[in-house]
Amino acid sequence: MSPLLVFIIRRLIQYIPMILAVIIVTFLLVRLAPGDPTYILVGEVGDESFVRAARERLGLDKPLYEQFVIYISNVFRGDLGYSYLRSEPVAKLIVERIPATLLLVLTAMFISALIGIIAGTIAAAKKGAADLTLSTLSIVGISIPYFWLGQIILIIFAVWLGVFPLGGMISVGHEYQGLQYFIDVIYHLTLPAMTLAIFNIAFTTKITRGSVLEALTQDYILTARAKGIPESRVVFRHALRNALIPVVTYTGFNTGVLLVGAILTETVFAWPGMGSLLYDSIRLRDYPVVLGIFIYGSIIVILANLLVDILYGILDPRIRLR
Amino acid sequence: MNDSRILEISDLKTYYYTSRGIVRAVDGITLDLKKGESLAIVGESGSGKSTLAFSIMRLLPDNARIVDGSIWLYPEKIDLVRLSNDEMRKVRGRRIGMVFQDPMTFLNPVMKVGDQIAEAIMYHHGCTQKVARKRAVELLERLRIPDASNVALRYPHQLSGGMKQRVIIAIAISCNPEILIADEPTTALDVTVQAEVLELLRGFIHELGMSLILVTHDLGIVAEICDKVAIMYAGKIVEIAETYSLYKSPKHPYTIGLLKAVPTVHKSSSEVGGIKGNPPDLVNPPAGCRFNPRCPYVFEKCLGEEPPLIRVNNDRAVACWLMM
Repeated sequence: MSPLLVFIIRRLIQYIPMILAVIIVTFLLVRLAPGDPTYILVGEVGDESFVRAARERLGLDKPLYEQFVIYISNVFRGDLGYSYLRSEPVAKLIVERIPATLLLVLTAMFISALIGIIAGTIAAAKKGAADLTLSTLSIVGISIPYFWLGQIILIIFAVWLGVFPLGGMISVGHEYQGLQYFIDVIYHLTLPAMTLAIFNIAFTTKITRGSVLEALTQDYILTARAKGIPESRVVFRHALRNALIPVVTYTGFNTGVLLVGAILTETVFAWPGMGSLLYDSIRLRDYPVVLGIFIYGSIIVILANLLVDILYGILDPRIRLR
Repeated sequence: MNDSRILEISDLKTYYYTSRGIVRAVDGITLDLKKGESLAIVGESGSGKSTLAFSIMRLLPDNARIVDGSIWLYPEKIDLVRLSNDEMRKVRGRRIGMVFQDPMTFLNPVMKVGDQIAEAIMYHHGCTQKVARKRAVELLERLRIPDASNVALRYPHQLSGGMKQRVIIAIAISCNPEILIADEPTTALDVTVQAEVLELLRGFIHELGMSLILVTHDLGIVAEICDKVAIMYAGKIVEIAETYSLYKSPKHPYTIGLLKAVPTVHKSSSEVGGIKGNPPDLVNPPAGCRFNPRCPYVFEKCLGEEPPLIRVNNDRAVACWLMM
């Protein structure tokens, strides 16, 4: 077996207890939250017997630990249960929504890595006015909350200027195919992706700037400069290449933050992903869906971190994957 | 005689601007280097010798500045101090190469060593990466690295210290520069490897007709490869002479002390003398001769007036009032 494969398998085994912990904590947290799904199902003024019947049907009459044991054993059999409200399997509901969320999150991630790394490197290398401008902008970017930014962007670009749609992922009423469909999705994706990316662009800029500044003080930079190669090559090929590791770490670590951002962004832009599903499900106390999304979310974060670990090995030849 | 000159430094001053004040690390240095000549610049740490080397390359840290003087590069007699950054870039690597002190930190850890050597060749000779890589392997072979084509594909952490130092030398000489500046090239190496690396350096400068500026605190290695020695103290040259005559009869009290501090087989360690005291603070150097607080022969004139570097005979100049 190749060392990389051994590494991946070993990591995946290590992740099992982590996922178990995520399930336990979220199960308890969701139940600790006030509210009761039965009243949402049968209405506040329902008959006592009605309520009791609903509780029995959902298994909510059993003691919490018993519910937990049932849930865990189902999860390990691959069964995430049924949504209380949508009477559909949770797994199906989530899997339908994953592509939209991944599209949004990966686009935001790509944009922020690209812009953030370039801006951060320029800020570090140029110093002076360029640095001041970029650093100030990144502070502003970091300080803006998603939900507020989303609404402002929506007002400016969709309401006032009308250049982008108000929400959704595709234009309703058109049956676009192929390239037209693709363009339509991009058109709808632009504003939410921008909203989600801004914090990350700002943060990636800051991290890259610091990391490149640090790399530029290293001795091998003197060697590179003493060769008489262009300064741009010194910065990008020598300094940035060494500075990328913290940036990649941050990007991987930040997948979780982005998923959280996606919840708010999807809600504002009516983007049909996991985020808006989660928002609705929390509001309606649809426990199985909430738990299912947390499990999927943590798996995504864990996989992103695995990817980061693999990237380390590629970026830094001194690191051997074990 | 002047035709064979390759580098002329005149009244060079390089200062560091620190929170404590201005550090006059190089404070009026005048030197020249002939074609094929090997010059050693010797001094304690903090004497300004490395600053002098980095000034020639214009690779000073942000808080340092060349405030006065010229560095003329012959035969065109261009002043390196006044070159634009772009023009200076064409001098670096191509006309002046530099060998650095610590092979552990001066190589890029995430780049194959062959590519690090090939880089300068590509840029200065405008050749393809393939050609440059081939030339890099040839250089490694000439530096007596076994299995060079394989070594070129390795990363620095996969090589020993001596091998890495050879890679650093290969980078420095990759474009056949006329001048090689070596900043403590063997300090970080094992003693056994030191001799090998020195031997290689000596071989190369003779073979390629390069001039060498060797910056070191080690008078032992100076005797092996240098024709001429400049002794630096507190930002100034206090004595400059042919290597043989300097060792045989040092004139400046500092040089005398320095030579006494070198242990030899003929002296037991208790007989090895040192120089009492510490080098002066360069923010606030002593008035008069900067060596006066440590000098055993100090007299009134030394305290009030700074001695100029005066040629005392054909091959020697000394900055000491005792010589006047």
